[in-house]
Amino acid sequence: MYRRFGSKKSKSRETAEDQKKHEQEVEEETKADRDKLIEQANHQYVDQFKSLRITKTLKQNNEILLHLFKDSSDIVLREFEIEKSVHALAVFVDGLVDTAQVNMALKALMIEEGIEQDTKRISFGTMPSSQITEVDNYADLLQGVLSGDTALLIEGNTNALLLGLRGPTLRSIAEPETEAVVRGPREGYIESIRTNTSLLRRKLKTPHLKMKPMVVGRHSNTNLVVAYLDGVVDPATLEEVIKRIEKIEIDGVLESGYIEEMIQDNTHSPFPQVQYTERPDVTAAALLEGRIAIMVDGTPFVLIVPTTFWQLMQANEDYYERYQMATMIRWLRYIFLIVAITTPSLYIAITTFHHALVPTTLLISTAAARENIPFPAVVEAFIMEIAFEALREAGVRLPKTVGQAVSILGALVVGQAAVQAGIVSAPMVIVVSITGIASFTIPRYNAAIAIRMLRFPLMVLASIFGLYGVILGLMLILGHMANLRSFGIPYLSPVSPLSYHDLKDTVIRAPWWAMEKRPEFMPVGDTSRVGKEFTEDVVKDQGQSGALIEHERKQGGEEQT
Amino acid sequence: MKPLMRFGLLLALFASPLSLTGCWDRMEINDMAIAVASAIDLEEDGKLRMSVQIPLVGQMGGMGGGGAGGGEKNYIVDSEVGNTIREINAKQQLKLPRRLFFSHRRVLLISEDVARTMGIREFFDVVSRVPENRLNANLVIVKGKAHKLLTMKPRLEKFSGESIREIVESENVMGTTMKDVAQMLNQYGVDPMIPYLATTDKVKKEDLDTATFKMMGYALFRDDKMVGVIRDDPTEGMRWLRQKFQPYGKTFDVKDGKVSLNIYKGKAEVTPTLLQDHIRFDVKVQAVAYMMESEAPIDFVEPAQVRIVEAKLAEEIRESLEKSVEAVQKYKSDAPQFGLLIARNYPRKWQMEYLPRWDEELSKAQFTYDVRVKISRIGLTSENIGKRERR
Repeated sequence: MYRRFGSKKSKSRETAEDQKKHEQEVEEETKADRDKLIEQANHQYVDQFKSLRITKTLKQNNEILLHLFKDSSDIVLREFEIEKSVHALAVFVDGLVDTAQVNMALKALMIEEGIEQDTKRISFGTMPSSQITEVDNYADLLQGVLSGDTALLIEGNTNALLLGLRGPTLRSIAEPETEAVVRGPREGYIESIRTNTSLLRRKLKTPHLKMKPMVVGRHSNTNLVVAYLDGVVDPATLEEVIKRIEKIEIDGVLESGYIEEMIQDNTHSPFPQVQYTERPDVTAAALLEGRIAIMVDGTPFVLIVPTTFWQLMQANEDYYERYQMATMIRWLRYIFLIVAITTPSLYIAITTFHHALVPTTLLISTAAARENIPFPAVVEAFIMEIAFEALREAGVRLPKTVGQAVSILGALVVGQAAVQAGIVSAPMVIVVSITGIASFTIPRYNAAIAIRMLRFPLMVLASIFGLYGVILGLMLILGHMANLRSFGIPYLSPVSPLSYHDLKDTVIRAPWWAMEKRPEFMPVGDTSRVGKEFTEDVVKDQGQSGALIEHERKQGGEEQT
Repeated sequence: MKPLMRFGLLLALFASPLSLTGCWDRMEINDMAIAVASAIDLEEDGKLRMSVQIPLVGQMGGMGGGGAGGGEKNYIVDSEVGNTIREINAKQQLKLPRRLFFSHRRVLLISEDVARTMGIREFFDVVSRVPENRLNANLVIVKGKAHKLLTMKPRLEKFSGESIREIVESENVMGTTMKDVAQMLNQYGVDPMIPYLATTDKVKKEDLDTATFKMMGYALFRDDKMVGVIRDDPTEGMRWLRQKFQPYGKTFDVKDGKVSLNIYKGKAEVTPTLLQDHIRFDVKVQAVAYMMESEAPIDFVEPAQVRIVEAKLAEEIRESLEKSVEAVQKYKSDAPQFGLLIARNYPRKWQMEYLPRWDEELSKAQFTYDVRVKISRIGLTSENIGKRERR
């Protein structure tokens, strides 16, 4: 039974009755206290517990915790006695902690060392745990415990210790499916933010890589890390990012998409103004260009800001493959970007308004194919495009085994049967498939979605105004893009506003030695990326000249000549 | 404004055009009758007859695969009589379930009678007035009835109109589009020269299906009226005189044998000199040819032998030049644009003196020829490989 320290002296003098009465009083007193405390503990959100201090008496703390974690089967409140010392309470969430390590820590207190009763002494001298944080209020305590720390409350202390004995990560690091590469690292982020930060740290081993922790979500209390490269990043942009995140008020953040929608500049634009990636190498490259990464706990998708349109047209592999190849692939993407957005609308415009624009034989064969089609071209196009989108969506959502069935159905039913039944024409099927393939050449899924979405208004415009409508629609889209900003950076930069030197990473992919400077359109602290002398050497000798190795002709070759 | 309201407004804005009845020039492909060629003839009562060739796209394969099997035609020719072209079109439209569409008419055939009696100038009005007509359609003059060519079974191509176009547009034909002819008509000192097609000779009526047509030569015009036809030699000379060289082949006798050459590169320069009572044109021709075939006993390994052929070819070219000039002077048709040459070199004198009496001047003009020929390639062999070796 629990006794107050103060009642020890009077114990002998008092009668049993008195004692009983007194105990009743005490009990009432404590009950009142408890009610008061519990009332204090009735906050809705964790960060409101800031005002609730950890009390000196373990019993009160226990009461509060019991109240807070009522009906919570996964919370463990383990009361124990430190060897030759006071009582203590270990609080942790079962499943989040590494039980073996918690046992080790308790063993140290209960069996091996003990004695100490001050948290500072314990964390300094007794506790064999590498990560210990001292907290004095319930907000931090709850935050820690619910994130996987083990809290240690000790009788007589207004501080609690948070032991970082978190359990193993949920899944192993695997190649990200959304950003597969032929050449490049095969590691991708996972759902644990700690693993993710470590993956990034592996890429940039410098003290200038900063990872500012933040917490967002009143119920979810999601951990967030704002990563940047100090000295390269623009401080004003960084401040803006942090400010925008601090402003967010929401009950839960379950994916980085929540953050993206709340910090982007223009929410109604179909174009993504924040890039996401599953790859540490992409994140590191972005940080090296002076961008800022936002990592969110519970999702492998890391946000990168500021983002420009051209960035969404580039894949990380562009930088790993030979530059001629990368340049060619980039141009392929630019061409297919235009194909993806305009082909269906051009088809509609030309077949309903501008028949004079196509060669005679093409017109005749198109006419032959369309001879038995009951719908006007625009309706036909809509049927097929919507069918394609539905197939794509069904393929994504369904389990892989069913997905195959869907693709077979799609190819057979939509592709062949519809043409044979005379519902859609063969040229339309070709147009839809070209568009589909073209949209998949865009390396970023969210950019591809934007492009695919914009096809539909263009198709409507084409069916009403013909080519004039298509051009009008494209102008509107272009105007909108030119108007967009991502954290102050114009969305179309470096093309508009033009910064000539950055075209080497947009129009082409210049070889690494030629990309001396970091992007000019980004405000960066340190502009130089590649050593100037090195570049000059490479340019002069057209490669690294073999200063030490003599390039002698082999004996056999000489004999022949 | 609230975003939702804005979105609603935008939606309404985008949806509202859908309620409109339609777009005035919207036309689905399967509501069109695509005219690929048309022909203009003269009726006995002086009215025009226009015939239009329309492919039946439904029978052109497309999906079913088979398409037009056997003798079934995959085109129709619709014909109507009227006073003006547009009037005829309107009459034709009454008979056709689909709208006649002229943007793909690439060939306009005009019969010789029309060209000789009416002239061709009036057809250029409708061409430029209606955007659907294209100026780059080929203009062709036809011997006899022009619409006959449209109903003929085409060779290789799907419709005879397409065959005509391919023939006229081929590399060694001096084809003329509506635009070219219009330019020739609106300038002084130039007369048109238009490809002249005719059905192959001696065709019985019953095997009209196998009958076909061919390039006969060129129709020479004087202003917008046809005055004559040139064939063979004079047409070759025209290539040089017009100073727009197009390759052609030539066969002639050398040393008791025939030689065929292809003149594939050439440059011609015509310089006018104004003399007291006439104009002298100095024609300077440089031609490069290669051997196509030789039946003559010539060993081309020896340069001296090649020189003989070159000299002979130069003579042939000179002859063809003379013949063309003869034709030009006979028909008083300035197809080689001699007048334009004067106008460009001596604009004032042209305006004041020559333009009013150009016909007269043209017929008394003198010509000098300077032809230089080079045979650049003799082919892969110097002599016939089947020739017996000397014992």
